[in-house]
Amino acid sequence: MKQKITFRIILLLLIAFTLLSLFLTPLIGSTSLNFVELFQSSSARIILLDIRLPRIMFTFLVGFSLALVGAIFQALLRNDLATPYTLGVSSGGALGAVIAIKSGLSLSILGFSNTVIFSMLGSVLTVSIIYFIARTRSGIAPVTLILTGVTISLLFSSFILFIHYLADFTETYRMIRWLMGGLQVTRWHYSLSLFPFCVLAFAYFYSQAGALNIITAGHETALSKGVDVFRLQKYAFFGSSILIGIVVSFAGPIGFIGLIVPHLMRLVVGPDHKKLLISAPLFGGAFLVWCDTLARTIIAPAELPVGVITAMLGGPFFIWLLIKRQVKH
Amino acid sequence: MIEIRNLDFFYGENQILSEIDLIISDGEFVAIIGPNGAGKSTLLKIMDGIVHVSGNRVILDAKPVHSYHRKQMAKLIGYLPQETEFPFSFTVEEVVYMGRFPYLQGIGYPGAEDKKVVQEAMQLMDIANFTHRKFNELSGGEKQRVLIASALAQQPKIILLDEPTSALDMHHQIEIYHILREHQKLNKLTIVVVTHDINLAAQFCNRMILMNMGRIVNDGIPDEVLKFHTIQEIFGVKVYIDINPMTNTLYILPYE
Repeated sequence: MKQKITFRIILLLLIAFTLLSLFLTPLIGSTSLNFVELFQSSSARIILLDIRLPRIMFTFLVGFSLALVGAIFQALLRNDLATPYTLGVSSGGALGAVIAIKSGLSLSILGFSNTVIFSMLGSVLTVSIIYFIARTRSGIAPVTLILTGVTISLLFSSFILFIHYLADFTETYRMIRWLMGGLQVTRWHYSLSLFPFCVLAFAYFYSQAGALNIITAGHETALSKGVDVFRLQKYAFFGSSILIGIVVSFAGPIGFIGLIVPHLMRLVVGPDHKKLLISAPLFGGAFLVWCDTLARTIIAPAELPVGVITAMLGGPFFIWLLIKRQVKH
Repeated sequence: MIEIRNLDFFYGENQILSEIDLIISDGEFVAIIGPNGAGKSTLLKIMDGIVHVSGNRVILDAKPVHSYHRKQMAKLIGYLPQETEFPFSFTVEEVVYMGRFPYLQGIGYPGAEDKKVVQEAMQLMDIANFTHRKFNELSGGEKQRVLIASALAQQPKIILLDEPTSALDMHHQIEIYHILREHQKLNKLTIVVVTHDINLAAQFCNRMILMNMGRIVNDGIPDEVLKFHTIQEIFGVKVYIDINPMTNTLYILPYE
């Protein structure tokens, strides 16, 4: 009972923090805005409504998805070092993007650039290959899945290096820039395309929270407690990989959010997925919004890639976590 | 009732089980004993449908095991593997609640009935006083009691345990067997234990199955199964067998 009340307070705080982030950060930027200006100047309104808000909503959804999928992968792979990219989705996406940049095709479908489309194809292809290799009659072995993912990532990295070598300076710059991850979107259609996938993924995973708790004890225990392990693995791996494929193709491989946020939230609300799957995505979204605000303002009017910020904040934090754990044991 | 008809089982090329014919009736307390690699654990997993066998060779209450949904199965059979490890630090209460999974509807919040069953299971296993401790920080004996409580929370008719007492001290070994037997008598629970502790098994079980190299060698009450020559031959050691006057059950001592 006490735990339930504590969780409600934490949840309220999280929601408050999220709302505060979403309403406050649009006012911060290379041109700072205040409420008076918003009523008086139309250019201030344009900056807010057409530039900052779409970007912030998009950033929130990206952080939301990364933290959600991070939590799911850590449960399914029974490994708290798993990230949304462990299965190599991001390397497939990156390979696609790099090919798109090198080929220089100016193709655009439904308002998405060729980089986005190629990287999405790359992600989907990678997941299909990995799934095909790792599946057996009795389910998917986490170890095989991790090994396959790592191997595919290495293989694709070598392809990427090869393409880098062939590319000229401008192309190389664009490739490296893409690999750092960025959230420079200025239109609403990125958020609007990502939103339904976020909602669907969240609804499905939340409905499976109990099963996800049990599956962390291994597939034999999970089966004996009534979890349809094979089906859960199949839907969860595929569903989250598609979500991550979309995120990566829009925003590049933004690191550390999917690893650290689930960790941090597990420390706060515990490992129960009924709590974790609400807290982690909310905090992931809000956290990435602040990282991006930092990225937009720290060297304004220029911008840092947000991936640099998340890595610089996330890396030391994670080392601190590991040291703390060592001391405890 | 579990019925296994003429079962052969292979992992790849290796034959693990040969010509297993077995009926386990309701309310029995069965111990499966035998040397390492005899196929005991695999047999247990096959009974719970965790290891899949083709054909209708494993029958649970008149229906083939593979025709049950996992949730239906979990309401009939509870299973404890040799080792259970959680990578994340769930509380004792959360682990016991996992046993209610097959009964939960929708998003899966437990109702009044679930809470009652969980409370009873925790009381029975004497863990109700540390429900908020972390499972991963418990001792071996405490962990085992929590896991059994979680299996009992499934309210199964049959419970399968794979070496449930191998990591426990004497006190907790006796305690686990004692609680299991009480539960068997009280609720007509069927219990199947895979164990290397033949002495404890002889004391508490009313049927013993001796396996070797994938076959059932002997099946009956402990006094019939624990024959001097069979044991020496199968385990490859000299043994001394006598009756413990305190319990009137057989005990075995290996010697060099």
